[in-house]
Order: sequence, then C-alpha cells, then structure tokens
Amino acid sequence: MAEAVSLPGVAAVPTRSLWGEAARRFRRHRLATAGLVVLLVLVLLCALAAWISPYGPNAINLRARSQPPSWAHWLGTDGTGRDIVARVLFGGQISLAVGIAAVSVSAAIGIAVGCIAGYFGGKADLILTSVIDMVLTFPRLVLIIAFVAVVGPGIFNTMLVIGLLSWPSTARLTRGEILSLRGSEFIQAAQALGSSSRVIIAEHVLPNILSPILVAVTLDVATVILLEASLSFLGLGAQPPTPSWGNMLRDARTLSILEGQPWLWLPPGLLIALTVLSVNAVGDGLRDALDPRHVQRGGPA
Amino acid sequence: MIHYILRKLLLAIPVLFGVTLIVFAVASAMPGDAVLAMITAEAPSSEQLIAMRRGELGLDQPVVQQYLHWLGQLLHGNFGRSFVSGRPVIDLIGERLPITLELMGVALLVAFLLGTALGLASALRQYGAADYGLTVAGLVGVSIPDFFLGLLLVYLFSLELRWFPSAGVRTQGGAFSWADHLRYLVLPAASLALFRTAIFMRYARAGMLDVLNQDYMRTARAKGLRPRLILLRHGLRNALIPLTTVFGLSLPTLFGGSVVVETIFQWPGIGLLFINAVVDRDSPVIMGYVLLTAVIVMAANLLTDLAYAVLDPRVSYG
Amino acid sequence: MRFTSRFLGLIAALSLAAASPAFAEGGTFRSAMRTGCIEMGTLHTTCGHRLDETVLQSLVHLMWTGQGVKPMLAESWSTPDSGQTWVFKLRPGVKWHDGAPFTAKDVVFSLNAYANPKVGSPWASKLSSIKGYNEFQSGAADHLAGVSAPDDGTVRIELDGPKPAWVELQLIFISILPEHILGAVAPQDIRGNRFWINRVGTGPFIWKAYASDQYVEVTRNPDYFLGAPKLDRIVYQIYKDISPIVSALELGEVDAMSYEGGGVPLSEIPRLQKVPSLQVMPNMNGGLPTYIQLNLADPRFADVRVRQAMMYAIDRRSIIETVKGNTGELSNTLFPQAWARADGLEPYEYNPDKARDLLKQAGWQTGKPIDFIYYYSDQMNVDTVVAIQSYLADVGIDIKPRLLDPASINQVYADNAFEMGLFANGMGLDPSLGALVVTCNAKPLAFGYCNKEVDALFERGLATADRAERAAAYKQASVILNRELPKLWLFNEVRPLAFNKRISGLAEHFAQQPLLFFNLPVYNEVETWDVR
Repeated sequence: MAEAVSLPGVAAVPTRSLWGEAARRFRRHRLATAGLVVLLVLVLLCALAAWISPYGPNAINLRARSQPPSWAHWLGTDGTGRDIVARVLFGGQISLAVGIAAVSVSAAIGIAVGCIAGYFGGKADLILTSVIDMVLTFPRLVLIIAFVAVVGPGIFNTMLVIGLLSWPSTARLTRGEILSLRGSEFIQAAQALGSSSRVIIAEHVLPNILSPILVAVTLDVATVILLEASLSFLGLGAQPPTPSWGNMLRDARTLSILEGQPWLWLPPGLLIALTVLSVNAVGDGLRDALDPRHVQRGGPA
Repeated sequence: MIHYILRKLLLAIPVLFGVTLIVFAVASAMPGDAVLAMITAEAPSSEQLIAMRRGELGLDQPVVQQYLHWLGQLLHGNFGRSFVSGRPVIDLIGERLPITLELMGVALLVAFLLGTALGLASALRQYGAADYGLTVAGLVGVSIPDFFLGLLLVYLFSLELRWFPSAGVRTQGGAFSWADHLRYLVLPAASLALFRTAIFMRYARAGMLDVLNQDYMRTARAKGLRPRLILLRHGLRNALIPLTTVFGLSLPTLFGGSVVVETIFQWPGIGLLFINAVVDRDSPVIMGYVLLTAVIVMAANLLTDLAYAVLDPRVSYG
Repeated sequence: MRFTSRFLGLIAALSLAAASPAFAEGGTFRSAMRTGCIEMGTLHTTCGHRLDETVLQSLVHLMWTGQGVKPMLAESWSTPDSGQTWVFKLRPGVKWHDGAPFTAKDVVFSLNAYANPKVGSPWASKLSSIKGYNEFQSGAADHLAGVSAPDDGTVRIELDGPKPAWVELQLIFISILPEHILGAVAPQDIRGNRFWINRVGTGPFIWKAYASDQYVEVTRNPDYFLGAPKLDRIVYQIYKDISPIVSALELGEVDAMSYEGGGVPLSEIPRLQKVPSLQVMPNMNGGLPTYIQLNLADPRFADVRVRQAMMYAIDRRSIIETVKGNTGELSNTLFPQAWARADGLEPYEYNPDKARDLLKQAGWQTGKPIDFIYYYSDQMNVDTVVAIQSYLADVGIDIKPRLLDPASINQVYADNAFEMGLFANGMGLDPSLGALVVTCNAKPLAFGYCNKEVDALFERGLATADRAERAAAYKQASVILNRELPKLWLFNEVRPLAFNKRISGLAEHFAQQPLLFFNLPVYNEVETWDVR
C-alpha cells in the first residue's frame, strides 16, 4: 500500500490500521483461517515433495503393481507400481502451479484491460467491452478443448490456454470498480493537480480496487484448479507419465479400478476438493475482512 | 426499454460474427482434418482419394473462403452437413438437444428449488447450528469437481449398492418406460445439481439476510407481528434478483451440456456430440454447437436484464 | 412446505422405478456395438461389418474357423485359368427384404460402388486386383471393366493376374447392396444416405428400427434361404465406451460384445469371471500385433544396433506378466498367425547391459527427447507406454509420450514429422495383410523400410492358395523381419471377450475361432442360434 499522499486539504488515508483491522476480521472467520492453514500445509508438502517422498513419482515397479495401502506404500501403488503418495505430492505441484500461473496470467491481462477500459472510457472502452463480451460468450471448457486440440496437450499449454481465456471476468470486475471510483474526490483532486494517468492509476486507483480484485482473483484460483482437473481428466492436460491430480483421476474411468482400487482415485479427488475448499474459504474470509459491508453475509464471526 | 432491447440485439450481431470467426479459425488450426480423422491402418486411403474427399468437403480451400461459405449457407438457413456422417447438422443437434435439456433442466430445477429453500431456511436461522452447517456444506458443494462427484456416486450407488445404473439413458431395445428412464437420470443429475444447489443457496441466503436486517423488519418483529409470511415474501423478492442472475448465467450450460458428465455417464447429449466432433474434426457440427451456445448466452443475458427490470424497481433502461 | 411434497413425489417415483424389472426375456439376442458404425454405412465405416453378418451379406462369407469360405449369395464359383478369371453362379430365388429379386445386377452395382472414386470407400483397395480398377480410380473409365454379368444369375470377374486366394482374402470384404434402391442415388450421396439407417438386405434378419446412438433392432426373416432363424430378433445396443459394455454384460443387459474398438479390459476379467451366466474367454487371440513404430528415415534410428538395443532394453516379459495380466504372447516378428512364423527367431531377451553396449557401439547420443505418439487410451495401454518409457530411460533413451487422436496422428504422418510411436494392427485374417506396413510401397506406414526380398516373399504368398506353400514364403519373411527390426516387435495382443451362456451358438462360435477377424462379416451360423 502506498504511503499516504499529503496534499493540503485532503485528509491522508490511514492505511496501516486498515490492514490490521482487516487481518483481525479475517482471523475471526474460523473457516477462512482453517482454510489458510490447510492451504499452506498442502503447498508446503507439495513443494517439498522431492525431500518428503521416499519414492520418485515415475519409479515403476511392475512386480509391485496395484497394491493396496501398506507400510511400504502408504497409499498403495498404481498400475505400474508407482507410489501413490509420491504421485499425489508431485502431482500437487503441477495442479497448484497451473492454478497459480494461469491465474497470474489472467489477472495481469484482466486488470490491465479493465483499467484501460474503465479509466479511459470512450472508444477504447467500447472495443474492449465488446471483446470481453465475446470471450465471455463461450462456455469456457468448449473453447479450451478446441484450443488444446490445436496447440497439443501438456502442462504449459494448459496453463497458457486457461490463462488466456479467464481474463475477461477479472477485466469486467476491474472496469466496474474503476467506473465507480472515477467520480470520487481524490481522483479529481489528483487530476486537478496534473498527475499523469499512469501515476493516478498506479498510486490512487489500483490500491483502492485491490480488495475486491484480490477476493475475485483468489476465488479464480479455485475455478482454475477445477478447470485444470477437468481438462486433465479428459486427457488434455499433463501427459503420462507426469502426474497431476486430474489425470490421476482418469484411472477411475475403468469400472474395476473405480470399485476395486479406491486408493488410486480417492486421494487425488479429495485433495482437489480440499484445496478448492480451502481457497474458497480463504476467499470468503478475505471478502469479509476487506469489505465491512459483507460482514453479516459471511460465515459466523 | 424497447431502445435498450434493440441496441442489445444490434450489438449482438458483431459479437456473434466475431465468436464464430474465431472458433472457425481455431477449429481449422487443429492438426489434421475430417478426412485424416478417418484413415486407419486397416483401411488406408490413396492420396487421390484423400484429395478428392477434401475437395468434396471444401477443405482444400483457404480458411477464409471456407468460413464465408459456411456463413453464406447459414444466412440461407442451412447449417451444413456433418463431415463424418453426412447428416444435416440441424438434425444432429435437434436429436441431441432435448436429451441434454432434460438432464441439465432437471439438475437446474432441483438446484434452484432446493438451493433457494435451503438458503432461505439458513438465513432464518442465522448464526445457528443449521446455518453454520449449511454454510460449510455450501462451501464443500462448490469445491467438489462434478466429475469426481459423478465417480463417487457411481461407486456408491451403482457399484456398491446397485440402486442405479452406471451409464446410459435407458434400457435399450424394447419399449420406453419413464420409470426405467428416471433411474438412469438420477446419478448424472445429482452430479450436476450439487454445485448449483450450493450457489443458489448462497445467493438466496444473502438476499434473505439483506431483507432480514432492514429496520422495518426489526420493527415488525419487535411489534410481535407474524414475520414469517412477510419475511418470505420480501426476502424471496429480494433474493430473486441475484438468483435470477445466477439462473441466467446457468442457461448457457443448460443448452451446452456438460461435456465431462455426459462422458462419464454416456449421456448422448450435445456435450458428447461436441467432443466427438472435435476428435473427428467435424467442423460443421462444431460450428453448429458454438453458434447455438453463443445465441443462448446472448438471449440469456438479455432475458436476465429484462427480468431485473421487472423485479427491481430501481432498475430502468433508457 | 411445497418443496417437501415435491421431494416426496420424486422419492415415490424412484421407488417405483427400482421395483420394476428392466429387461424382457424371450428369443432376443442383445449384442453390444460401438458408436460410429451405422450412419455412414458399410461402404464407409471400418466397424460396420457386424451388421453385415445378419442384414446385408457378401457373395461368400469367411468361416468362423478361418479356414475357407462358405457360399452365401454365390452358390458356387470356379476359375478356368488358375485364379485370373472367376465365374460366380448366384444362388437362385433369393429376395431382398422388400421383395425385389436378387440378381447379378446387384453384384455388378456393388462392386462398382466399392471401387468408385466418387463414392470414396476406404475398402476400394480390396478390389485393386480387378481389371480396370486403376482406370476407374483415375477417372479414365466410369466403371470396372473386369466385372460383367453374362446373365441374371452369373457374374464374371477378371483380375489383372492369377490370384488364387483372391476370393478368400479380398472378396469377403464386399457386401452386396440393392441396386434397385442405391442405384438411383448419386455416388457421392451414398455416404450417409438414409438407406443406412433403414437397410434392405438379403440376410437372416430384417432391419426393423434404429434410434440414433442407442440401438438397432432387426427381426427374423422367415424366408431366409438357409432356413428361418430360431431367434425372434437381435438388438444391437450402441455404446461409446467399453466400460458401460462391461457393466451391461455383468448385469445381463447385453449378451455379447463386438470386438472392434476393444475387448473386455484385462482389469475387468476377474469380476466378469465371477458371474455364473457369463462365459469369459480371457485369451482370445486378437490377431493384433503390437509394435513400436519408428521412422527409419530419422538418422537416430537408421542403425539397426540402436533398434536392437531398444528391443533388449524393454522387459517385454515383465510387462506381459504384470500390466497385461499374463495374457497375450511375446512377439518377435510381424505375423500373429503361428503357421506363418519360422522357428528359431532371435528372442531379444531382456538385457539392459547389452542394450547400453549396443548403443555405445552405435554412437548413440541422448539428445532432445523423442516424440512418442500413441492412440489407445485404455489403462493397459497407458501403463504399457509408461513402462516402455521407464525401461528406455534406464538405458539412456529419452522419449516423451503424447496421446493423440487419429486426425492428429495422420497429420503428423502427412507432415513427415513422425518419430516413434506405439501402434497395433489388426491382421488376424491373413499374413498377407502385413504388406500394409513393411513393403516398399506401403506409404506412410513402412516409414522408410524397403527390402526387395521381403516384397518378393509377400508376392509369393499370394501366388497360391495352398497353405503349406504360402507358409514357406511367410516364414522366410518372418526371419528377415525379426533380424532387421523395421519395427520393434512387442506382443501379439489378446482381445478378451465375454458372452452370456443363454445364447446357444454364440460361445461355440468364438471358441472355434483361432483369432479375431476384424472388420469382416463372418459366417457365424446365426440362423441356428437360439435362447436356451
């Protein structure tokens, strides 16, 4: 948060205690705190996969295939004898990385486009809004499938494609927030003082729209993780032998594995749900914390 | 109001144009084409045959020309024929659309009714155990991927308990029976409904809470008036606004189908048609599907805006 | 609340549904079939021939034992000149299902339709030996010169050279179509024509109903020339995927499955074996050699020592015993037919040290990863690819697997970008089908392999109908292919099948079949089948 700008006649915005206040509200939201903890644990475990896991994710052992959980393999082994714990941890790296990367791409583009459209208005706004509308007109999965068919399956392509198709909603949100800010006094004051547009956007506009955008972006992470899981489940994401939570679920398409080897597909599925749940909880908590109007709508304080 | 509608309709045309153009370009950029999709090692085709077949389908022309040809046909009301089966795209979509509508419609309806009911109930008992439980349940509901839920449901109810079949729309061969058909509908509809129920629940609750906390409501309760009916009426009315938005946002999926769920449950709907068309590089079918969903999205947006105008007296369109 | 009553109503409906029986009994045989086999028609699909065992028919049908053919629409045939000219005497008194008489005109029309470039049938090449085929295909002629009908009951076919085995190997693929219906349709409109969803044939069953992507129903033809069938009707239930077929078999919803598009996955066999009403055949030879295909024009793979190294590097035996559940057999050459393979082939036993040695000798550099494509996405195949990748990585060969659909794969071929991949080829019918992947003219599937000796041996194999003479030629070829490794031979696959015992004639049919014959109408005596 930028330091308070001191201008004669304009009250400085007390920033520090606002954040502190927000943090306190967040901590009172039990679900959100729990979600944050769970998320941090998951991210840590997956990041440290190489040190935690006694097996590599791709170490096959045909003679030990399809074994139920045991002391040697805590979650059992899959069809080629690979350790499920290892695959789940390394797979988590992929799923989380795609989630974060794709959201970063989409947030960067979305915020930039939204700012331009909202702040400058006029023709730029009209064109950009039409583009936003156009991209939002597709059911996302449809276009992603078509795009992936063009560029080929794989992790990087998935990241790129999801990111490139997810920016419109962030753009729309950003634009909306900026439009409602445009008329506010301190913006007009800054303009009157002759600050350039870029400075105004960077130092005045962005910090004030940060809250709702942060919330939206957090919730976007949840959506993107689900999307990546769907894509991998359809076979379009990470390719074997690389594990990802979504493509580990592909095993369950075979009825006998679904029924007879639940240790293969329950862990990745539950982890996806848990991760998304935590992210959603954190997002909810953020929303309550950063926007007092929402307090009563959130979970119990 | 009329002006607003007209303006929206007019803006829709270039957007549709842009959407179809982009999708056509993407579809044409996919490696291979419909002719290549059909060659197998057991039935190889000569170069001559491939070239001729491409010529028949117009695949040897530049992409722009192919697009204009498709567009021209479209303006005459002709959606083209499948590159794979030769059947008119309209027929293919017409056959599969009702099947998708049925599944998605049931899921949406159940989600709307159940979600609204639960949301209202939860708001009435705010801060109570039920409210807390439902809020957590709602969070869980939006976090489980629908295909994972589908797998879980098949595991529990189809394989272990044998209550419901695992795939298909009905027992094949022999006469159609609603009772039989309903059994096949339960699991896929449930997989789709959970997420949407949770969403409707959240918005219903929020809308209801808004009303509950208004001053006049507190006054009414303090006075001892029977708040239930007033609550319901006003709360519902208020909640309907965001609920309508969500409903409107769900309409495209209503018509577009869920590719993943239709795949798991072998539900022969539009989603499955689309994914097959992508694998087969069947451009006319792909374009037909995209056009359908695009039109639905725009119609849904327009209808949502109109519904807003009806429901929320503060909204007015010039 | 109104919601509660609605909910209760739904529960009531569901309970009713659970109580009612789902399937009717009676003389109905239900067979599972994969999607994509109906609308385009027999001329254009490679999986539609199942229906041609019961509705449409050929002049002759292959016996299910694989040895010889049975006269169907042709009553008898002869060749006065050792296989260059064939004269077929058609069965008299046969009627199409709509009452029109079957005559030589239908045969002439059908052969021309298959070969017509405007029709564009992928089966056209089966008729490439007929005189006038090339002219017809190039457009110089507008019909097959070598096909004629001296009278209503006789058809005369002239080939471009003596081909004693032509009837058993090529003619069996051709189904006879009604000229009085399809003759009026323009050639380019035959594909996807409405005829295919309402077929008129000469077979033991008559087309009754079709629901798109759901089922085809055919009923008994009381006037069938080999006797009225015992079954009342057959319902072909259409499935897109193998999993629902396995469930359906288990629950008794279908009695049989067609094997195109995958047999019972290995993982499902134990659960099906527990069902008392099912007869499971876990080791049905699929006639399906699986191999790793290499682009020999790629300098990395040109040295035979590199290919040998790859063979030694992959522990095929372990893969069979684990991933493949002990089904299928190790293959060291092209032919799945035992009679076509020589003894004493080099076994390429698993030996990673020897592999590394050979690679060093050949000067192998682990450079950029090799693009490895594959097509079958079932679990067993994916596990096999994973295992192969791991074994090759152990000796310093780095492959990057990619699952692609057929259109993309064919595009890779067309772009000449193919490097390496896992493929299988259905050639259960006859070793001569191997010519499609290892002869000099086989483009693109030979991928740069050309050995004139092998070509000559394949030609010798077709020069006679005598099994022993043909075996000699193929055995020699098998030795060369084993030594030169134009492909890395892996396994001969099985296609496990399962059938319900309630249909008599069905399991017997498959038990006598030495290996599966893909994409062919096979004579399976369906008119004698019955419900026990």
